[in-house]
Amino acid sequence: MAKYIKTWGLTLIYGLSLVWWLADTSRIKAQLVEWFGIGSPLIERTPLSTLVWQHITLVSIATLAAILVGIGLGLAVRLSRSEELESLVIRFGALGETIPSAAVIALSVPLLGYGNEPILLALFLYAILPIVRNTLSGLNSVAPDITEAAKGMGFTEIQQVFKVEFPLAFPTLIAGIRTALVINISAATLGATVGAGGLGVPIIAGIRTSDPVLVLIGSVPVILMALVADRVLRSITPQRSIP
Amino acid sequence: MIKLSHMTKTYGAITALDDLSLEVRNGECLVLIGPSGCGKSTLLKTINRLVEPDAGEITIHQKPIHDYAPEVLRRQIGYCIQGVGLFPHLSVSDNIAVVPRLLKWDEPKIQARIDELLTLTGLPLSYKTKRPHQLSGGEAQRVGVCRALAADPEVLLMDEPFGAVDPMTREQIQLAFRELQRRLKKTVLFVTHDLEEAILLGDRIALMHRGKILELSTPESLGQSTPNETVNQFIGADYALRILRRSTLEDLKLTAVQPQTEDRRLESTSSLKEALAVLLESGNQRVITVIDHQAYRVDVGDIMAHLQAVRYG
Repeated sequence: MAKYIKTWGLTLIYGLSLVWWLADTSRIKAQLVEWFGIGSPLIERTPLSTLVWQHITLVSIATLAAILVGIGLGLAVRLSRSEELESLVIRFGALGETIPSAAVIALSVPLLGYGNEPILLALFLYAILPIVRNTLSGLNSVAPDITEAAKGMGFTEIQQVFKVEFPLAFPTLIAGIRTALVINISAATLGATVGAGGLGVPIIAGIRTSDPVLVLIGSVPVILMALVADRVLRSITPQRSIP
Repeated sequence: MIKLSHMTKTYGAITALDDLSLEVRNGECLVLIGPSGCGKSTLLKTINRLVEPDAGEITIHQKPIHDYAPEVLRRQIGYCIQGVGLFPHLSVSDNIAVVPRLLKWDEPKIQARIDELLTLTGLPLSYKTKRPHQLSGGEAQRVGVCRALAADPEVLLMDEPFGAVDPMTREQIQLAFRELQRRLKKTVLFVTHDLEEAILLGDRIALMHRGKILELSTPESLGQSTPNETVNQFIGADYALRILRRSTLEDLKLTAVQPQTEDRRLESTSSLKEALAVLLESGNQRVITVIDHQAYRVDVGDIMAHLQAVRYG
């Protein structure tokens, strides 16, 4: 019960804070302007709730695509039963992760133009690695006596991966998705630099005009969304004691 | 009947199987025993094709196992391994149902079979919804046996199945398995490195060393056919004491007596090893047992005579 309150109670607090921030933006903003002594209390063209919605859409599309591709890639690599391919994929992914997301965005603008596409590509690429890596390490962590039992019982290679290894890898896989999602919720703010919507819009505008209130107005919902996503994914991870 | 002919398998410089031939008869429990690395597990795994031999042929009921796809073959053979390998994400009943579901049995038949197997191995039906991590080592082992027996295979391969449980539980589960095997009469190939276990469970014992079978005989006559240094070393000088565990007082030719109150009494189902221990510590006290309402005196001489008869014929 205490655990239940802890997980869902916190989620509820973060969620309600987000709703309050959106519903009462103008009053919060006026208050902040008063405290900081700088900034403009004027309302932006786009309401904050629209920006949040755009943000969620960007992150969801990119992360969902990464989940599908990442899991598919992980399973395909596993089914190939080739250790070289596996280490190649992981090393290649780790290499990709070292390229700064700003660089990915900048490089994809000439190809994809301004707008949502460059940030979608960057978020997608960034989310794939933790998902593939966790899918593979989850599949690999299945105890050898379990895989041997599965094989000896007469599972085909494909049945073994889907009915035994994948369900056992699921908690690790969810952890990878959680990492990817939390990274993406904050990284999506960079989209505003290339004309995408989302909560990056007030943040970037705030930085350009040296307006801390504007930066706060955009970043607090980002933090709250990341916290909610983290909590929700943690609580749906199946709890299983390791034998 | 499982017939293995001229099996050969090498791993680099190591010879795991060296032109080995063996027949497991229908309904017998043949125990493969030997020091670790002697190739016993490799031999067992060639039968369900988890290991492909370099040379040699295996037939089950005169049919070469290569006539079947590996998965199809494995579904017809019960398989039980050390550490059980129960699937942690499945309940006890789903674990047992694995092979029947692979064989596409209908669900009512599977459910009935699960109940039957749990009863057979002495587990309460309420365990069906439990997860493997909620079971004790011995219970998990029993579920492992249920899973191996689920599709009622004629052939059972057991690879040190009781190796990972504590000694007390191990003895219980060994006795339970012996009872089960007496009733079911499966064709069992059982791998172990525990001589006690081999003596208790085996109808015949095959002693393996460096990829070859040194001796194949009943537990009673093991070490009798050809004098062999390695065999003698392996079975040890106290082997005669060990095989006493296979017989009970009911197997002895005993003298009927009138029971007296100061007699020490033994259950007729006690093993000869237990009986001998009691006799050794009883001093002058008479030891008796009651079979079919008749009391019999138990004497060291009776045990000796029985041992002579079974071991030296």
